[in-house]
Amino acid sequence: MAKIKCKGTSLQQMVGNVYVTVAQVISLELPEVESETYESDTLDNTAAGIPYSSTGRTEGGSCSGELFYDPALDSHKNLLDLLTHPPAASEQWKIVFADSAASSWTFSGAGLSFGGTVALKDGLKGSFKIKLDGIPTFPGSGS
Amino acid sequence: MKCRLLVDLKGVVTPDHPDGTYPIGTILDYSTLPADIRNPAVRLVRLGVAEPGDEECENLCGMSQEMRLRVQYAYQRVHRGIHPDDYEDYNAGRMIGYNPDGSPIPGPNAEQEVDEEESESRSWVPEDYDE
Repeated sequence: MAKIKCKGTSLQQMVGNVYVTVAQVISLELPEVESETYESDTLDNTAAGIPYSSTGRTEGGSCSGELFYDPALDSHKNLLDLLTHPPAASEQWKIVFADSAASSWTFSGAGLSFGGTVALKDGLKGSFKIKLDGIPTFPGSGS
Repeated sequence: MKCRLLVDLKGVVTPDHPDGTYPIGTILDYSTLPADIRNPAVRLVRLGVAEPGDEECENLCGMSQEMRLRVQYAYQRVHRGIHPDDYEDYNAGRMIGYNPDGSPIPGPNAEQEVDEEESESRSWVPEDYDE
């Protein structure tokens, strides 16, 4: 059991057939993966609690983050290229954590959004969100 | 079109790469894809991950040797997961990465004071490197 520091964590995008780290990332919001449920209450239920059941499906959510945006940097051009030249197939992504085992979450991205913030008292920042196609592959498990 | 990796990378598991590891020196061949600037070989070179593996790739990259050194240096920094807040310390050689507990791994200039002249501590950074 350990408390893993965030510094050293990286977001990686597959280019060709290898994962390449996205530059100048400041923060990441991990995908909020959620089991899909439905309210399964019935008229003859005498309990006060409202029961829920699983549909057997899982929503992958989105992975978002912020970076110091450099318009001339190829690493960031590659992100915008996904918007100008949407790939036919899902993009492959990986988040590599800074633990000693370099544990990772890998996932497919169906689409990307990208924006940014220009503020006097800050560096030029970009924000992005990757919509997951399916659910991530977690350490030591299948997807 | 081909390129040659300059860093160890993870990637797709194939019979040639059963554990998904693509070590330094691996030749990646993307000759079956269109020979344009969006070819992965060109993109990997421009990202600083690889060097051109043939003349076609070199021509399409449109980068001088100095430019390639600059992006390769920048990618090494990214590859080690250096947070932008620590770029100054990394560039100055005061740290080269992070331990699992988040503490910095000391670099060759770790003992130098933070406010020392950058020109002295940046001697190992390419001369024309500009953040």
